[in-house]
Amino acid sequence: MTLGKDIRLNNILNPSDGRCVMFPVDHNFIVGPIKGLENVEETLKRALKGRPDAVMVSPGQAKRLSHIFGKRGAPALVIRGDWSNAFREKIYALPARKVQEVLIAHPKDLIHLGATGAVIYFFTGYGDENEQDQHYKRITWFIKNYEKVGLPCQVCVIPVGERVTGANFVDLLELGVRMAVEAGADILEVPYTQDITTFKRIVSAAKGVPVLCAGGPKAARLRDSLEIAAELLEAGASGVVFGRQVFQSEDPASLLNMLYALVHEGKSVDEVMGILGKPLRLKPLPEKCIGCRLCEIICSSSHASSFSPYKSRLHVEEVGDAFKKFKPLVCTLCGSCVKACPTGALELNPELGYLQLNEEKCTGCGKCIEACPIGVLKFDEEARIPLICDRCLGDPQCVKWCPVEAIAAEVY
Amino acid sequence: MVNGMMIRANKLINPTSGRALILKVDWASRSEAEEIVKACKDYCEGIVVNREQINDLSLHFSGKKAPALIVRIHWIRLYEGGLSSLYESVDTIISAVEEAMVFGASAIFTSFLIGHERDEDEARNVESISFLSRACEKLGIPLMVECLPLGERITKENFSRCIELGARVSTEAGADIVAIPYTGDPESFKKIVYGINTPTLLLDIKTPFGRSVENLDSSLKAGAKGIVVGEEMLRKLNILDVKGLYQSLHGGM
Repeated sequence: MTLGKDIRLNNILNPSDGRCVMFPVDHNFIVGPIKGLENVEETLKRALKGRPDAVMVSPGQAKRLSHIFGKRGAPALVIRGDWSNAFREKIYALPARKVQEVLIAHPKDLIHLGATGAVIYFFTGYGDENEQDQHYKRITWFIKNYEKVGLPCQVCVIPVGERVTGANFVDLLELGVRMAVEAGADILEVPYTQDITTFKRIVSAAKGVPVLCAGGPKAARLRDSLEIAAELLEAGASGVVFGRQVFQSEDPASLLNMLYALVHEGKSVDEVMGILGKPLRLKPLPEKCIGCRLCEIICSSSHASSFSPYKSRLHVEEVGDAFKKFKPLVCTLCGSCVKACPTGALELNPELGYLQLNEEKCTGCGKCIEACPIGVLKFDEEARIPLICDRCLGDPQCVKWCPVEAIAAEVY
Repeated sequence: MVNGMMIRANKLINPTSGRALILKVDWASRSEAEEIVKACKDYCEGIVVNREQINDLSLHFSGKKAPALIVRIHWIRLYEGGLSSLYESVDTIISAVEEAMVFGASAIFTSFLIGHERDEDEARNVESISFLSRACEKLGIPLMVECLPLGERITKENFSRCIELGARVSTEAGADIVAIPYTGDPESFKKIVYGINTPTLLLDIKTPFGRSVENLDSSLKAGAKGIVVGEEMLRKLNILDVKGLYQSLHGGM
């Protein structure tokens, strides 16, 4: 493996556990506009607070959204290298009548767009053997050329075509996975086989190549989405590629955050739903605080991608003269700022209770800062917005990182 | 970041008014094209020509106040057997973009046909637009794509959804400016403009709801940045029409 590919692969898969939460938003390219992706930029702005490891986009969106990906701490940019009409079913405008797949960018083009990785389809189940051969040759050629420029190639294996039946779906998927591995795929993306036993066969056929699993159509309930993810991880998947499950949910950032906890922190669905899925309040414990200010550092790091206490959403106050003591100041969710906001830019999340700011509505008037009774709310002079504590969308980092447990999270 | 793409895009869409009137003469004979360009060059932001017309018309694109030269690079047509394209390979597409740059083009123009009878043709059309876009990105030249609904699969009922599909596929492939016909009502037009998040122009063609230009006002209110007029208006050249359109676009309606 080349150094470039190694570095890029470690940007997609978390190097500490080899796992990944990928958020694909390239659906419009294939089927046209769908619910939740009416405007890709808006969707990403809402969802990226949920810390996905990678985002999958089309080349056009990669170009247009470079401002989102061109900063430290941004998710890895995985760009689609091909196009297919295979998923344009009858519910969409101009449904497909025959499966087509074409390459749309040379590997160097994707590097030019800033890609961390590339993704292409590999279909198994063509009615015509020659077409299947041509398709495989094209995929192989493409993977070899990605190798030359050090770009990891994710192959999305899907049984599609006249020969696919319910009975042979898993066999065709297994065959496709093995063929993609032999061709040199770096990451595999597969649909869920709907049971753990058969999915384990797929993971086994991958011969150690990380297998990410697609989420499919949106589940009816939030818990269902999480249970699918947990089942996949149990069967050996290295992560999830959840698109519709996430962007069609009520709160995409929260769901991504929960997926992050499942995939990277080994939490169970109950734990994730119990803690992340309920309204949280931060409780400072001044008697324990030693004034190390790690909470301020980690808060600014996770929210502003910088180690600057000025960007922190909580603060440590010094009290006493001769014998200094410290007191963490955290947002108490009193709602004074929400009431004071003249434009309605600040509101409490109706489901999870945390503060959220609509930056488009915010005029930077500073009324909320004046209204804060304990002075914890500060103003970001660069961005001209208040620095609000959103409880890290249910997974407060200050609680996690405090070495003496001087801040606790409690469900209310 | 200021780059070639931004400089050239600002020649197409007037940075002061944020509007554009683009004329298409790629359909016209040499003499017709000469006549139209000569008469209308002061009343438009850019003119779409084909490669063969560039030499004859090059003088009209010289000077600070000259309109932007937009080159149709990808000749494409549908016939009974499917889709025919002048450029069969990706390499020829790339060299054609470079050639247009040498001629002094400010933008590249191509078509995305919506409603192909054969899925292979649609795939080839997506492929060619994508590679054209990659070539344009490297050279810093904007790619303008017109979404043309054609054939029996397009009906009055699905017209708006088909245009939306075409506009989405074009922008996801990499189009920098999109020209679409009027979709029949301001709401659906607004939805498309909001969704693609790319400068959108109204394409003056005949639609099931009449000529697009008749709905210029509501299209502009729905977020369109201007209009692309072609054969429908320029065949019977009336300079007053073009001048009136230009003034109404830039001076408000």
